[in-house]
Amino acid sequence: MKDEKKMGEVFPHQEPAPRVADECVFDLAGEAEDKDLSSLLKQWHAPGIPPSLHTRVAASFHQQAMPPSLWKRLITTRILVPVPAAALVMLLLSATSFWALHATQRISPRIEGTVSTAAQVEAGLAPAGTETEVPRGKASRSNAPRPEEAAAAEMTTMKKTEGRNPAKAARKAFTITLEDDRGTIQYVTDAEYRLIPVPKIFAGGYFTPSEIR
Amino acid sequence: MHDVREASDESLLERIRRGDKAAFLQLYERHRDATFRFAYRMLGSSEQAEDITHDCFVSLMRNPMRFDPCRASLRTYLYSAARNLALKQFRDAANEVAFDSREEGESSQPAEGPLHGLLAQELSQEIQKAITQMPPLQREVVVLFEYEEQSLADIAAIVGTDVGTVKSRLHRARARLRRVLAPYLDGGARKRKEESNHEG
Repeated sequence: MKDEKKMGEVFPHQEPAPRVADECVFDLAGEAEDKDLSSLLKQWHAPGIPPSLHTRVAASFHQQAMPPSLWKRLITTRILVPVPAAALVMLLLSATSFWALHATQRISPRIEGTVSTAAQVEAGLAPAGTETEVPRGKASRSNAPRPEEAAAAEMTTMKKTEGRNPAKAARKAFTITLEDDRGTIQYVTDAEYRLIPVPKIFAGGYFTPSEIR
Repeated sequence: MHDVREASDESLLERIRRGDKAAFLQLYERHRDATFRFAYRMLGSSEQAEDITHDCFVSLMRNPMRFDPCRASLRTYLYSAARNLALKQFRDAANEVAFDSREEGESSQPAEGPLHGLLAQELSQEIQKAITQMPPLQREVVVLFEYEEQSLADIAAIVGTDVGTVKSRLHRARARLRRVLAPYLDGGARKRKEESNHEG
């Protein structure tokens, strides 16, 4: 076992000794027997070197002397990454992906068309007591129009719908249903703008297109 | 080319570090036979010995700075590298190399006749069998001492132990070989005795 541990050690510094002095090792055995054994062992001859060895060694030297191309180095380069570091990076990537996916689901829905203030008040988009027009594609909780702008927009909407055939206007009417954990709100509008329903989270609930007529 | 042949191993290594192919080939020509022979006698396989010899020189080519001429000769360094690779193969194969898988008849024994050739081949195989059946630590000292004619100090440097341990291993190895090869040794002694009686 002690010898096995020393097997990996190479070149311990020792003073060279002449081979003649080594003969003392044979003091234990007869000199004639040792000579017999040595001459007998010499009967085992090693084969010649295979010709392929020279080719292989020369090819290896050529490969070593000629550095590989940049593309080959790029393709074959390996980077050692410790497992804990790789696991940490994977964890961070997973957390970032999950957070990004979750954040997109919280984006306010895009609404095109006119939504009454009552619905917006219920949804928390506008203060109570005002009528506003939600601009195209910009409706959100954060950028809700100011009361004076909402009033002007409502007046514009009313002007657009005045003087029209009530039956035709009724054909364009549709219902918006807002649902959340506090309940369901339905709102029927006759705005002439086309409403593009998007089934996304809207003010904590869902904007369902099933009620559109 | 002439100066390459006469250059020392150290100067050749210095040139190899600068990418001199002629210097490397010269160094290879100088030491390949000994490295291959040693690897072959350690493993008993020509293919494995070729692989080990190749790996030794490739390692020397890639990291010539590993060789320290103050500590040992380049031959000793190559023996040591070959020995480490051979022991690694022993560990990998768990000494499961079957004797019948080794080459037969690849010995370069000169044939003086069909019967003599057969007898010489059989004797060579028996010696090979006796040596390759020894434990690796005994085998390496026998090969280095008997075949490569290294001094005990050099063997100690190669195998990484002290001279006393090498002597002990060599003594045990020779005793074992004497026991295993006793029929051939007795035959030789008897023949020698007959020759001396005939002369007398």
